[in-house]
Amino acid sequence: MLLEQLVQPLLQGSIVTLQVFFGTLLFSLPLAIIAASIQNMGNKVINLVFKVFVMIERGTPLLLQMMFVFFGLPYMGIVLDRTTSIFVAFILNYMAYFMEIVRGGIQSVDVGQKEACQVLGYSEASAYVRVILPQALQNCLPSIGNEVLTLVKDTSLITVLGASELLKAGRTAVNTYGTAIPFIYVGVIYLLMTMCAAWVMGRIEKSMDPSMKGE
Amino acid sequence: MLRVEKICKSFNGVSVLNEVSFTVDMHEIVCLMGKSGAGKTTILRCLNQLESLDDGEIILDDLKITAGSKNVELQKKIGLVFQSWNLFPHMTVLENCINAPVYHKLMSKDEAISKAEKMLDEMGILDKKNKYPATLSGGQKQRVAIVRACMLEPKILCFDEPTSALDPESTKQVARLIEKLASREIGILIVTHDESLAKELDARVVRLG
Repeated sequence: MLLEQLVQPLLQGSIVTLQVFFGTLLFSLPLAIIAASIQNMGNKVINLVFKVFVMIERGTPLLLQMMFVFFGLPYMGIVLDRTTSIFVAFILNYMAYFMEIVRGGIQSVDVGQKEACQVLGYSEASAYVRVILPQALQNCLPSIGNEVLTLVKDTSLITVLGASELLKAGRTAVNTYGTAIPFIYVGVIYLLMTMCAAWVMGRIEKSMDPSMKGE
Repeated sequence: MLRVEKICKSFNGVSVLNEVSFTVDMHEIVCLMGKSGAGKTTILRCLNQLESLDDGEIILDDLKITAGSKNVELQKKIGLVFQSWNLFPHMTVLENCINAPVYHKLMSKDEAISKAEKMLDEMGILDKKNKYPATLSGGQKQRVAIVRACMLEPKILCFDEPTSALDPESTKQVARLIEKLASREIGILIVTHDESLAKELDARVVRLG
């Protein structure tokens, strides 16, 4: 009986959670790849800017960043609505983490690969796009997978901005029906989401691993 | 054909190459030999412009590199088969072979595929064309690396320790392949410690150090 009453609010909450998840992933990962590639060019000024950006984003809580964007920026004359604030904070935060992962992936590519490109006469840009970046992304997929799972769970933070995501739907149900059962349902839904994400990441890893492909 | 004239190279003030000179003619097999640290691999790296010269000249036909200069055209004419092959692990054997000539617009993709398949067939590994390097043996990787280098039609093909990671049987096969390559319009330069390889190939030996 309770389950039937909970389906609608939990489903709506899940949709909001998934929107934040996919929206963040869709923008933060490509932006991180572009930024890490620019960083790889070695311009000192640009690298310093990125270094400071990453330090701030990784060194302060995502919750604080979200609150700063939504409640703090209006004091500086920048007013963003709730949805935009959530996306701005999430995308910038995850971009910083992904940037560091991709940077590590680029550095992990064997120097011999770059030399082979030089001997074959590739331009630096072409060598990067054709040879270095694909291998770098392949090397850092497990770490990206970890961050993707963390992102699923981090979406629950948006509840503090009053967004009607999954956790808030569960909390409301707990208060309404006076039972802890909704929290268990919420936990199961998060678990299903992370399991799906882990499965997809595993498939992507396998599809990109040449030693698994054989042919 | 290839003239290396009085080349010098030092690293952090330590001289590795001091006025080294030699030549490699078409159809000729030259083995660069010497003890470890004599600068054999450094010569190959200078020839392929992975290191710049401190002094001297490298001349191939009408193309030349001198101290501090680069010459992309000359780079294309000198191929290198690395000691660890350095095949691209995310590409199939065929992709490894056709990528560079198509990139340089030396031929269309179809022409490159056809040429690569012919060369892979000559090397006896055509059945591996859709495999990834990780699934190949050392000898097979060596042959793929040779085909990849030959696809750009180099005038000089360099080998860095081509038999160091191979068993005696594969070593003999590589020696036969090198002889076969030398019968084309190409000169072969081999860096090796393997005296028996030099004898087997009846190569001219240039000793360093």
